[in-house]
Amino acid sequence: MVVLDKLIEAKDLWYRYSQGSGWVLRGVSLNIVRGEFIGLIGESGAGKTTLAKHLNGLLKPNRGFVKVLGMDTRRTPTSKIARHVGYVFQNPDSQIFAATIYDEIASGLKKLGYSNEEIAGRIEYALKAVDLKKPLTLSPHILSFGERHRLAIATVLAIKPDIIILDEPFAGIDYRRSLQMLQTLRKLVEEGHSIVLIAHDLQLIGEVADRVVVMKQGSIIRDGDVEEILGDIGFLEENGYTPLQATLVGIRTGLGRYVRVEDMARDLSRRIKYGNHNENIKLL
Amino acid sequence: MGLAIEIEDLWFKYPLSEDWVLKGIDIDIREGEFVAIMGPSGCGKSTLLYILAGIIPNMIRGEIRGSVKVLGKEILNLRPEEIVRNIGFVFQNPDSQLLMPTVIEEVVMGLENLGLPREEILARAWNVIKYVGLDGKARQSPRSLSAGEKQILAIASVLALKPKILILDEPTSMLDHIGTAKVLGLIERLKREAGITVVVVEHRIEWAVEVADKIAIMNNGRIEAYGDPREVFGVPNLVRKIGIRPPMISEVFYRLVEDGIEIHGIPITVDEGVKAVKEILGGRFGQAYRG
Amino acid sequence: MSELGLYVDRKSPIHSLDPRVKILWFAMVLFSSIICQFDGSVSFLIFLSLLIGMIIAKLPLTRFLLTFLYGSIFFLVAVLVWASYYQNIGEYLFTFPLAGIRITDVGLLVGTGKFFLIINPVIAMTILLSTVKPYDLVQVFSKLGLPYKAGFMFLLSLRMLTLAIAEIRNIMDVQKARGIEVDSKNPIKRVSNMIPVFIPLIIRVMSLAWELSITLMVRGFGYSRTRGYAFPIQWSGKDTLTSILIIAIYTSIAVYKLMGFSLYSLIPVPFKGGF
Repeated sequence: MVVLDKLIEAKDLWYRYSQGSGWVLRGVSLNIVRGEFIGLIGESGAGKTTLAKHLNGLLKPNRGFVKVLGMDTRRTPTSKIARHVGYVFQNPDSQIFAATIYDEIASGLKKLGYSNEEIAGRIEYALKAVDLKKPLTLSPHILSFGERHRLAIATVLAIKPDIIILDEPFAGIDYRRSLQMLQTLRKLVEEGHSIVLIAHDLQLIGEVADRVVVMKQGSIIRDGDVEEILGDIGFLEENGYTPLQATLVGIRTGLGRYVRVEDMARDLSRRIKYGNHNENIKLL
Repeated sequence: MGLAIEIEDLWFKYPLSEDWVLKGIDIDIREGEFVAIMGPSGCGKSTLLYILAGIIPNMIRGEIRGSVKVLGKEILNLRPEEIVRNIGFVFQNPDSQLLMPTVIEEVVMGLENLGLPREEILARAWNVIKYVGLDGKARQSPRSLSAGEKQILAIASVLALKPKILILDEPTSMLDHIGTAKVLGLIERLKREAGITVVVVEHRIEWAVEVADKIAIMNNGRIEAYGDPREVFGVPNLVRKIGIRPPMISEVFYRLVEDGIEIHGIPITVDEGVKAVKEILGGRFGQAYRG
Repeated sequence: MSELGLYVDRKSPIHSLDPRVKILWFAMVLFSSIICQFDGSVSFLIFLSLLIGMIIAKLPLTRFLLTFLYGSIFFLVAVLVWASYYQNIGEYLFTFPLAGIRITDVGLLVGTGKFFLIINPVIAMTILLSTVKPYDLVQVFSKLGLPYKAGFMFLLSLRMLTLAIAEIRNIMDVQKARGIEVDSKNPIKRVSNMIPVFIPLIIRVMSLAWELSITLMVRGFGYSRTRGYAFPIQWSGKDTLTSILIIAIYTSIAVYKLMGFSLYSLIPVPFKGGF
C-alpha cells in the first residue's frame, strides 16, 4: 500500500472564467506534501485565490489537472474533497448561518459522520485553538467581527482536514491572536497536516511558513524556501514588496539575513553577550 | 497652528448596551498633524472615528457625554452638511464607497449634493482627479480599476469636498501590497503638500511611524498612550500588555531588553535600527557577514 | 452585461435624445397600446415602431432575441387564453389542435392585441432604461419636481443588486467548500441548502446597505434642498421635433383604431382560415 505523502498534485493548470476572458492561470504547477506550511503571495489579480479554489475542487481547470490525495478534482464531487481540504474564506459573514456556535461548527462534522461525543471533543479543541471562550449556545451573530472570524476558522479546524487553505484570514483579528492561531496551525503541520496561507503580510508569513510561492499574472514566478525568498531584497523590491525591517537592518549591518524576530534577536543577543566573533553564524 | 480636534472626557455607549465603549477619551490634535490610532479589536477605535465623522449621532444613536470640538466648534451642535464640508471619512471596503458608473460621476457626486454651481463642481472635480492621478481613467467604470485605485477614488471623492480633516478607518486592510503603497503614498502627499490633518486607524504600523507625528494607543475605551512614535514604542511593556503590533525592528529590541541587555532608545525605523545595532555592538562592530 | 442595470452605452440618435422624450415615448406607447388592445393588427404597428427604435438605438438585438424566444411562448399562451373567450364570436378560422380551442378572427385579433398590450410597454421601458444613463434619470426626477432621492433609490438599488449577486456567488463557493451541496441535483437537498446561502446573504446585504449609507452621508447626500448637476440634461430643438413626431405617430394610430379601422383586411388570405 502506498502511503500518500503527496497531498496535492497540480499540473500545468490553465484557467479562465469564460470563453472571451483572459487566462487567469497560465500553466501553474504545484505539489504539496504532508507537513508543509506554505505562504502564497502575489498582487491581487495574480491568481492566488483562483489557484486556491482549484485545490479544493471549487474550480476545475480548463487544462491540466489537480489531484487531491489521488482524487482528480474534475471527477470527484466538491463535497467529498471538502473533508480533506479545508478552506477559510476572507469574510466570515459569507459563511455563518447557524443559530448557535455549536451548530455552526457541528454542521460540517455531522455531515462527515462523527458521533456526538466526537463532535463535542472537536468543537472544544477548535474553540480553544482560536481562543474563543463563548458559550456554545450563543448566537454567532452577536459576536464581534473578529470573534466571528475566529469561529469560521474554528469550523474548519474542527474537521482537521489534511490541508487547510486560509485566504487572507486576519481581518478584524489582532496581531497577537493571529500569531497565536498560526502557531496552533504550525502544530498541525508537525502532526502531518499542511497549510496554505494566502496573505500580504510578509512578517506573518516569515514567522510561520517554511515555503513561499510567489504568483504574478497567473504564473508562479518563484517557489522556495521562506528565508531565501523573503531575504531576497532585490526580488521583493522589484515586485513592489517592502522587505521586512529585520531583513534590511540585518543586511545593512552585515549581521545576517533575517526573516524572523526571534532569529535576529537571538543572534544579536549572543553577539552582545559573548562578543562579536567572525564566526559563520548560519541562520538555518 | 490651531487645534483641529479637541476631545475632552468623551464617553459613549451604544443604544441597548450596558457597557460604555468610550470611557473618558481626552485628546488634542493640532491642524496639519498626522495621527495614527492603534489598538486591539473592540477597543473603540472605529467608534471614536464615527463620532469624529459625525456618523454618531447622525446615523447611530447612543449616549454621548463630554465634548468633541472640531476646528473650534462643538461637533454635536453641527448639522451634517457642515460636518461633511470639514471632515472627510474613508473606510476599508472600496466597493461600498463607490456608487456611480464612472470615475468622474463619482467625484462630482458629493459636490452636486452640496448644490454648488456647475463650473465650480467641474473645476474642483478635475482638480482632484488630476491630483490623484486618475485623469486618464475619468470616463471609465470603477469596475476597471484595481482595488488600490478604487480606494484612491473613494479618497478623491471625499477630497473634492475640501475637508480640512481626513479620517481613514483601516484604508488598506482590503488591499494588496501595491494598492497599499499607492494609498499610503497619497495620504502622505496630502499631509505634506496640502497640510490636511489626518487621523488613520492602521495596523501596518511600519509605514505610519515614518509619517505620523503622533501615535495614539487605545485600549478598552481609553487612550493609554499618545505621543511621538519613539516615545510610544519605547515602552515595551505597554505594547506587549495591550497586544498591538509594533514595528518589527522594535520587537527585536524588546526581546533584547527582555534578555537583560541595556538599550538606550528603541528604534522604530530601518535607519534607526541600523544605527542602534552599530551602537550596541560598539567598537566590536565591523565584521562583515559572510554567509 | 453592463455594470448598472440595463444601460447600454452607445452613440445613437436615440441615446442622444433628452430622457424626457423617451419617457414621453413610453407614455405614448402605453396609451396607444391600451387603445389598440382589442386589435392586434393595429397594435402590431406600435410593436414595429419599437423594433425600428431598437435598431436605431443600436441595441444588441441578440440579447433581446432571447427575450423574444421566451416571448413567443407567452405569445402563444396569451393568444390562446383570450381567443378562448371569443370562440363563438366572429368568423371561424381554425381550431387549435392540442387544446381544442376554436380560433375566430375576433379571437385572434383580441388575443394578439392583449399580447401587444403587455409587450409594447415592456419594450418601450427597456429602450428607456437601455438608453438613459441612471445619472440622467435622477435629473429627470428633479426636473419633474419630484424628490431626487427617489431617482437615486433606483440607482442605488441597481448598485446593491450588482454587489448582492457577487455575494451570492461567493457565499455559494464558501458553503460548497464546507461540503454543503448548494448546487445539488436533488431538489429537496437544494431547498434545505438554501438556508446556508440565504442567511449569510441577508447579513451581507445589510452590511452593504449600511456601508452605502455611510458613504451617502459622508458625501453630503440629502442635506441640501437643491442639488447641482455637473452634466445637466439639455433640451434641444431635436428633442422638440422628435416629441412632436412621437405624439403624431401614436396619436394617429390611436385615432385610426378609435375610428373603427383595422388592418385585418390587409393580412394575406392564406393566413386567415383554411387550416
